[in-house]
Order: sequence, then C-alpha cells, then structure tokens
Amino acid sequence: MVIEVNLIENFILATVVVGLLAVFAIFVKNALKKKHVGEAENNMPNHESDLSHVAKSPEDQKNMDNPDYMDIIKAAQKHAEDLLEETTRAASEMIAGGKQTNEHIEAQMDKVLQKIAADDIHSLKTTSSQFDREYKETLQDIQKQLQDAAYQAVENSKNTYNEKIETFTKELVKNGLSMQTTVDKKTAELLAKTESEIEEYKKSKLNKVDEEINTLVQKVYRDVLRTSIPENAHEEMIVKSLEEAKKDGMFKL
Amino acid sequence: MNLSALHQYLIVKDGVNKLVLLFEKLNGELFKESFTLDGFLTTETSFELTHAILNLLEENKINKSDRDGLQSFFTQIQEQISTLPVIHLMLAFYPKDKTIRAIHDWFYDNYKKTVLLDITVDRTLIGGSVVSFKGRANDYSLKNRIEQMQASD
Repeated sequence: MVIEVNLIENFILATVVVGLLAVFAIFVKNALKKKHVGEAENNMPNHESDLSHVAKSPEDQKNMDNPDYMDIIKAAQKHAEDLLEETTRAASEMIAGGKQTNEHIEAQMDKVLQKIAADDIHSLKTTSSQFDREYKETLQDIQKQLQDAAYQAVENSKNTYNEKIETFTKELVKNGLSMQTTVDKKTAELLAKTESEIEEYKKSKLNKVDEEINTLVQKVYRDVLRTSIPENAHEEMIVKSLEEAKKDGMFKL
Repeated sequence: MNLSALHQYLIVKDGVNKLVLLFEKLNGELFKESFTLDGFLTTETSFELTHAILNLLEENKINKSDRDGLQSFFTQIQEQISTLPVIHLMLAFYPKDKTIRAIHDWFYDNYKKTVLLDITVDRTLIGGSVVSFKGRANDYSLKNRIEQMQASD
C-alpha cells in the first residue's frame, strides 16, 4: 500500500511540473512573439511607417540606416523564432511525453488500482471471511454464553424451586403425617364408637326381633293352638301338669 | 270335723269366701229372736247348699235348735275352712265348672284332702298350668315347654 501511494504522489507531482512547464513555455512564446513581431513589423520594409516611427530618435534613425544592424536584428529575430520553435517543440514533446507518461501512469495506476482493488477485495474477502468467522465465533460465544447463562439461570431456578418444593414437601408431609395421625386417631375413636353403637344397636334390634318373634310365635300359638285345643285337651294338660307338680314334690299337704 | 258334705262348695277360693261370709252372717243372726236355721238358709243360700249344711249338721249330730251349739259349729267350720290349703293355678283359659271340679277331684283323689283352688288366667300359657303352693311355683305350661324347646335348638 505504501508503494502505491508513492506512485500516485509522484504521478501527481510530475503532472503538475509538466503542466507548469507547458504553461511557462506558452507564456514565453507568446511574449516573445508579441515583442519580435512588433519589432519586425517596425523594421520590415512593409512596416516602414512603423520603423520610421521607431526611428524617430536620431540614434535609431541612425541604426536603421545601418544595414548590419538590421541584419543583426533579423538574425536575432530568427534565432528567437528558432528558439521559440524549439521550445514549443520541446514543450509539445514534453506534453506528449507527459501524455504518454500520463497514459503509462494511468495504465500503471489501473494496474495498481486493480491490484489494490484485488488486494482490497482479497483483503476485504479475507477480512470479511475473518470478520464472518470472528462474527460467527463471537456469535457462537455469545450464544454459548447466553445458553450457559440460560442454563445456569434455569439450573438456579431449578435448584431454588427444588429447594422450595422440597421444603414445601417436607412441611406437607409433616403436616400430612400429623393430620394423618390425628385423622387415624379420630377414625379409630369414631370406628370404636360406631362399632360399639352398632353392636348395641344390633343387640337392641336382635332383642327386639326376638321379642317380636316370641310375641308373634305366642300370638300364633295363642291364636292357632288355643282355638284349636279343645277343652278336654286343656283339662288333660292341666291334670298332666298337676301330675308333674306332684312328682316334683310341689304338694306337701 | 268332716267337711265332706261341703266338699263340692269348698273348691275355689272365691266360692269359699262367700261360704265364710254366709257363716259369719248366720252367726250374727243366730241369736235373733226370729231366727230359724231353715228360714235363714232358705232365704240366703241355694237349695243344694241348704241341704249340704243340714246334712253336715246331722252328720256331726248338731241340734238345729241349739243356738250355742250352732254358733260353735259354724265357728269351727270357718276356722277349718281358713286352714284349708290353697293351690294357686294359672291356666291358659277360663275353665268351665266341669274342669274346675276335675282339678279339685284330682287333689282329693291323690291326697284325700280338700284343697281350695285359686285360679287365674293367662292366655299366653297356651296350655297346661303354672302351679304355685306355699311360695313355690313351677311352670308346666305349653308356652314354657315351647320356649325350652326353642332354647335347646
């Protein structure tokens, strides 16, 4: 990356220098052209009126009258024009060279940029992949931490609830046992009382039933036998009973 | 004193009580001036009893006109009647006269003694009797027999 940055800086610097040179050359060319054209016009025959104007001073008038002076001026002008052409050409070459350089630099820049882009893409890809991996790892870590935290929270809650449930169960069992004992005791008492009452009731009912049976039997005997027993049979039974009484020693007369 | 002439009137306790009351009344009127034994008996008793009493006097050679003798005789009768043994019998029905006489005769035939019968009725006995004498009682009723049979079952 550092190399690519230096190339870009050199390219920009060279472009600026070439541009400045080109501008300077054009400026010098125009200035010289403007000066020499005016002088030449003044010195040329078709510009005699102007030269005549220049040659108003006596010295100038005198120089103009000198043919060597005019030759020197023309040679200087020609030399200047040559120099200007050479400068222009050199500037054009420089500009063309600069253009070529620019194109070269541009191509290099493209390559560099492509390389940079490729590198950046690769880097981005790498970075992205790394980021993605790190992101996934981080996500996994977070997920794991969350899972661990959730698991821990669940475990804590579970332990807390287990403890509470255990305590509640113990209390419940304790109370249940106490209640069961009380219930058993009350049930036993009630059972004994009920059994006693049932026994008494049964006895009472059985006695009542016996009485009713006896009453019924007696009634049957009385109603059936008495009416069916004739008086002579009664008399015989009475005499028989007296015989038994006698046998039993009832009558000690 | 032989009370055989009054045997048929000395059967049940209630009847004897009437006889005793009759003798008490007789003794009470015996010394009245207008008293005659025949007249009193004819007025106060049945024909049969009048003859029974007159026969008893004759058997014991008591002068009907001897008021002191009569008084002593009737007093003796009352005393003798009061000493007669009383047999308490509980029966299952109201016996007819025939049955009562049969019971009474049974005692005379077996013990040659006159006894008085005190008869009460309990229909639940069904048959037989409950005999009580001198504070001792035995149940010879059919009801008792049945209950004993039931108990043994």
